[in-house]
Amino acid sequence: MKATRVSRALALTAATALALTGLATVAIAPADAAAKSTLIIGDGLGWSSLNTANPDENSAVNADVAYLTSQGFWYYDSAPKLTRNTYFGTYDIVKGTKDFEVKYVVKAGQTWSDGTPIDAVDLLLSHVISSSGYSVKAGLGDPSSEAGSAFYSGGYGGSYDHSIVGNPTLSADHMSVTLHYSKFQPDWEVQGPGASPVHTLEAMADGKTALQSAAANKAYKAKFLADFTNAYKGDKAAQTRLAAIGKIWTNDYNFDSAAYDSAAKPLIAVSNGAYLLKSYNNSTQTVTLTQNPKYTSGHPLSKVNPVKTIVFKYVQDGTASVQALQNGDINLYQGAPGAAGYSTLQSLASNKSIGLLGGTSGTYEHIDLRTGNGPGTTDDYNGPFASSHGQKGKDLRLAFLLAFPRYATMTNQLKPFNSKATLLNSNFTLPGSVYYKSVTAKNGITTAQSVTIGGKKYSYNFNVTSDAQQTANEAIALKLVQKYYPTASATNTPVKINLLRSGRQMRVENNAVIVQHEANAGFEVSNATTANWSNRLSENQFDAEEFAWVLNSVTQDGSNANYLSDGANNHTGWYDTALDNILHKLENKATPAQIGTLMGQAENLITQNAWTLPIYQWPQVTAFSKGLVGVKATPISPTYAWNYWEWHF
Amino acid sequence: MTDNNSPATNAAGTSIEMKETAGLSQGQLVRKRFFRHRAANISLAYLGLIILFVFTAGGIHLGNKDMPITVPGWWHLTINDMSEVAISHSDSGQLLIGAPTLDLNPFDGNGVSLGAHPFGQDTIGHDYFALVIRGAQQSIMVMLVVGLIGGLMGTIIGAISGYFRGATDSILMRFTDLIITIPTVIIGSVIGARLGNLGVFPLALFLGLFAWTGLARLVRGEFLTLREREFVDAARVAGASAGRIIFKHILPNAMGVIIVSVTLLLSGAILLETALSYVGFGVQSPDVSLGTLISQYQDSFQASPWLFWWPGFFIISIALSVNFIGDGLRDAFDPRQKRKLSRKDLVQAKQIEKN
Amino acid sequence: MLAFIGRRIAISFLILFGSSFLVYNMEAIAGDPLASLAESSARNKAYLISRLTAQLQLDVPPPARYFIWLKGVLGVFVGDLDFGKTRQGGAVLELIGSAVPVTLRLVTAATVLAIILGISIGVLSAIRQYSRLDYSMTFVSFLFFSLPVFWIAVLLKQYFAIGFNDFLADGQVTTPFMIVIPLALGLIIAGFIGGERKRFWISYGSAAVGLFALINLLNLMNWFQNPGLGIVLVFLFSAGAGIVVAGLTMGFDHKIARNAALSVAALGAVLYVPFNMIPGHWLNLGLLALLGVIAVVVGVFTAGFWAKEDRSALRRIGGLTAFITGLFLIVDKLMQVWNPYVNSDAISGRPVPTISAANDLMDSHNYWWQLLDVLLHLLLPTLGIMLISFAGYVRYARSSLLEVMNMDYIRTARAKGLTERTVVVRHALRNAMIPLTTLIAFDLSGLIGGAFITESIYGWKGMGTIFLQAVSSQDLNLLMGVFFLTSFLAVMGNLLADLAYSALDPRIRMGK
Repeated sequence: MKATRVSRALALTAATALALTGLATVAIAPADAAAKSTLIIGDGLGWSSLNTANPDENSAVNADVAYLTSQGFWYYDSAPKLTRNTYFGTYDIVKGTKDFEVKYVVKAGQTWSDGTPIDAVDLLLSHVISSSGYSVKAGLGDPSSEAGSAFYSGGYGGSYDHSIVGNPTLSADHMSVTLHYSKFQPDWEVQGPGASPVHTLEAMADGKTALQSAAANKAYKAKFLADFTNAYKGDKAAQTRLAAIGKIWTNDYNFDSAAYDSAAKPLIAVSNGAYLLKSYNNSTQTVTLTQNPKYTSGHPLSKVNPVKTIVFKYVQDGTASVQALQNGDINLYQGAPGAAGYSTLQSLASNKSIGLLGGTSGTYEHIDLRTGNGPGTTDDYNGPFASSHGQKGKDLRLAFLLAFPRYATMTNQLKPFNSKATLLNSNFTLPGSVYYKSVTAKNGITTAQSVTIGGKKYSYNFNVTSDAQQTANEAIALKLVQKYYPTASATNTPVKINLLRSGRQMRVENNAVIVQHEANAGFEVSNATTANWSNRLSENQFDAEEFAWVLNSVTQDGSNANYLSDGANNHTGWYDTALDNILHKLENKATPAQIGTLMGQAENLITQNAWTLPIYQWPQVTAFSKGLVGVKATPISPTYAWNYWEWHF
Repeated sequence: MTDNNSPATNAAGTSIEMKETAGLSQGQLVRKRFFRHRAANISLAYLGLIILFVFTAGGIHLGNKDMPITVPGWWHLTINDMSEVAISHSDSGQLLIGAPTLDLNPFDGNGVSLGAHPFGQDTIGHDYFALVIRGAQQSIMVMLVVGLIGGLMGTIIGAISGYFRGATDSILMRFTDLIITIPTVIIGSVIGARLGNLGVFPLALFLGLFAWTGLARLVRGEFLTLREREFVDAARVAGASAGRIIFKHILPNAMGVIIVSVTLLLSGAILLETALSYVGFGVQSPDVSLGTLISQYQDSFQASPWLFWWPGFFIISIALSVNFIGDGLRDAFDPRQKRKLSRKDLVQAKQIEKN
Repeated sequence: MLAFIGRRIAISFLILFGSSFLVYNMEAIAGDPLASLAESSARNKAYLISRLTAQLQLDVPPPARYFIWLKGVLGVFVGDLDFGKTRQGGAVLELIGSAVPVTLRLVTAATVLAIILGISIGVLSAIRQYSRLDYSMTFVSFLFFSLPVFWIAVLLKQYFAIGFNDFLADGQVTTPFMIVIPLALGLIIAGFIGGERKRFWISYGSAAVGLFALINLLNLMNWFQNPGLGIVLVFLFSAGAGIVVAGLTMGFDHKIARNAALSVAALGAVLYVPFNMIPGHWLNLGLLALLGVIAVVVGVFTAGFWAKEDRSALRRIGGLTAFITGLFLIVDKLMQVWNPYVNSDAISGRPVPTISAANDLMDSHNYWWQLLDVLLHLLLPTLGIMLISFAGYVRYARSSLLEVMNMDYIRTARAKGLTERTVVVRHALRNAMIPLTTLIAFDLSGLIGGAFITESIYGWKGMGTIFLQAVSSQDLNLLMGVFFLTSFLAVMGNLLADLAYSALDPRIRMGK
């Protein structure tokens, strides 16, 4: 029995070997190793829409795809600095600071991807989706009402809406529009119009799905202009058509559950970007973009081995992204993968298998101290930091900020991600901005300050660079507290502080650090870490609040809502008329130098008032396959995508 | 080759067993059988050693912030201690950040030593030995609490349901269905968001309250079958009370299924906590469990593999030994179970046959 | 019985009502849908917050909002089912509709394989209780059972994807692996063959040597970069499988059974050429399934020709052999497209992916490409799920069979002189499977929502992923939609398990 089994095994082996030598495999010569032209980007959110003006659809990945598929008058570079896109057109202020007018000229010779020429009529839709006045008058509905406008747009309710006068004026040659504002717009560049292929919207409202002839497209564009003008005048038919367009605009560009194929619905994909939406696979959440052969609206793509196809692949998990990058499933990844993931990326980068850019995002963490109740409510806040306590409140606020472990927080939570991480020292601007240097020179955060306690002068600096310096600051802080609570010490903490923080993991980890350092200055911090923190920001039971602001643009008066006495984001009752004056100056026309100075002054006042301190920018790394060249990150949307024309393999 | 299953040896085996079991109580029997299960014994000793190791090394930390009950362990660092991250180079020149200092090779001239950070350091400089030890303590606690609560609830509800049938059964089983439908992630998210960082024990308690459903259904199924058996009828005719029938007659017969399920539940509890940690609802920082360590350091596989392997090693060790112990218990509890016959037994059997 | 089922269904709806109410309110208080807007520095924040509040009806307290949601769901009775809209504005039902097939694709293969493999190994373990195989299988199944799914995923991705793709770059097995692989695989093969120590070592030795030679040969032929089976191997493999099938069903010395199986395999080899001539772009899944059904029918009839007695058993053998032969034909075909697939631009020489459910292979309408692509994407997640879930089946199958094997009627069957194979296959196995049905029904009902970690790790946009997204983004409608479907399936699964249990085990009385 043994023998038969062994011989059987041997016979089987021999037979297999024989069969293998006789293998008739169809040998196919490997395809020519042509240069790679498909770029696969890891996407942690899941793409869902081409229309980022829909407030439900303004996710980062949607913004990236929108940027790659459509171009306008400007973009943010890696600084981030607002840069004009002269391939698309030019724009400038044509009249004064009081009665403010801006003219936008579309460069001639550009076409949409279906061949229809781009002109200024394509800029008019921006007005429809941003002006409540137009929406009401054109019968589309009041955006601020329960029912809203026919265009479900996130554009209403902003500065444009509040100060635009009438409708944009279209020039006779249809190549430019002029916007008329009631007053100077500090953000005038950002709030300018974008281009939309209005003829396709008209065609779709007409029930068409296929691409139309050049003549038909021309007619549709004329029709849109007529509808735009007549609806405003009260023409019911035009209003109905515009409302139908609104419905299409709101719904038909969203794809969270429906697959898309540009062959079946080509009108949706018509655009002027370097790439066009080719397909969307809803079961894998994969978006495929292909090169736009008629692209002239932006920087021309790289001459050598340009990226011809861009695929966004869904991968939500951080570890999975890192391994997918290593495996070549994706060629580009951006996110915050966690300390361990970052060190893995670093080790991959150190042996040159990937490229890695450590960096920061436009989201920054800060600590706010309450001085009163937010605007619009009666001020009954009586906590330790209350402005009603006068000098005592201010001293305690200063003490709290001095003891706040910015440095320890940064070393614990940021260094692991980015060895070059630094503290953020401005509330108004980010490093890289043209104003950051001049602001930080004046805002009292990075320069030595002094405080007089009991006739003795103590010097401190918020820009802590060592543990020893932090300890020194804490000692001063304790002295400040002892002014009012003579027995205060690290073991006797008389000042009870209720700190509100969101349940985000990074903050939770830091709870113990804050408690320990603040105790050194005589504060007993209790953490209210809750998931529903955001609608509790105005509750005056919280003496301090730590959360993040997300910056989507860098503008001269972008921070006003946070610090104006009646600002919408001023949850903590800050009130300072001197500051209000400076902030209002920022709403007027000013040179960059003036803006830097004003911001510095404003921040200095805020620091003197000891209201708030910035802590750090959230980390964000960009990693890419070694074959990919030209990737540069910027903290602001569309982040890594901003310079797609420099990408090549 | 003699086949173990041939009728002759079976009979012989049975007679050996009969001889061995004569005059022993059920408890003695189970103990005797259990201690004959080699893998289970090794696992029991191994698990005991791990528990002893992690609790003596890390000390015992109970109570809350205001009233801490702390017995320090022999390892001097805690999970909150941070020190400069050691930077070294591997033999092949690769940069190592926080490499482990554990030296188990007695022949390299340095002997066996722990060094400053036996399991290395994480990227921030925490001592990973302290983290893993603490994590293992917490995971063992989660496992025991979930297993105890889940096992008890599952057995009792399943037993009552299966034995009494009818309305009792319907109500209990529909209640079970209700609990089954509520996803653990939701429970985790609600606890995390509403109750915040309660600590490990309450978390385990909550998990236990939702972990018994599978067991209850199995036990009920077993009871439904067993209650129709002759010996139950006999007991009933003899006038035994329901409680007596359930606990003295049916339960011992269902013990095999229960033990297997409970051990699966125990090892499942560790994994459940790990899964919750993965989605961010498990043990909350700054406290750690093996689950949080694993999910936090899973992507350090390449840069610092020791951060990846050590918690995995402990999870596998604990879960594996629990399962083997359960295997041994199952065999021991099964009154019909035969054991492997050693050569000695076979020789004996042949002698018996001859006699 | 009907009344009983009716009552159970009615109660099930009450349970769904209760649990959905609980979950809705629990989740509504667990988070804050406005959180992301609170951090925004947008100028028109107030407007955006008011829009979102109106859209999500946040001004309605959660218990009342639940009934608004319920009203939409109850619309099913008037033909107007409405699960509401996601925060992104899409219909929840549509999103779920696109996620269910993804999840099914992910878990079906893994679960079926885990059940088949788990039960086979469990049965083998029980038959050879306390053998080397039993111990090692116990150890292996416990080991996999103890691993967190994402931990094992990291390893699978590192070695089976990244490592394998690196290996494919030159396609040559290196010397250390050439030694380690035969040694390891040989151990497994020898373990399954079993036997006394001497026989074990002989089979181990010959398996290892054979494998070593095989790997060398494949290396020489550059087979890993340009794989294929060819008509000869397709026939040899199918014939081997046929012999095993025949042997297990009717005994290895049953000549007619063996010949029937061999004839089916031979027929498969004859059909090799025409099968390979079918153009790739003609095919789709339905057509392939149809071909499979035809193959099985042909196999059944071919085997039937041999029958003198036991016709049905022979037909089973024929059908099964034809099915396996078909699988080998498909494998061979996939190997043929392997090389061009791997070298295409989208793949760039790295065929085993770590994420996603499929590539968008726009440049190819060849069905074999697509099939290969899908299978490669399934590889790692399937392995991961299978390794972890098969352990449970091994344990339960083993203990269940052991229990049955000690029953009196098995003793009777043995005493009757039936072969061990007949006793196990015909008598013991069937009864041993009864308790397993509960487990399987239970597991199946939990599959749809239970793979959330696997889906998330492998970047599959299935039910689990959208559920996690819904929890983290506080998308109540979406969350409730997923929850409702999964809990509905769980409740129905329980009902089915109960029914199956009573149907299979006549000793259990149902009802009352």
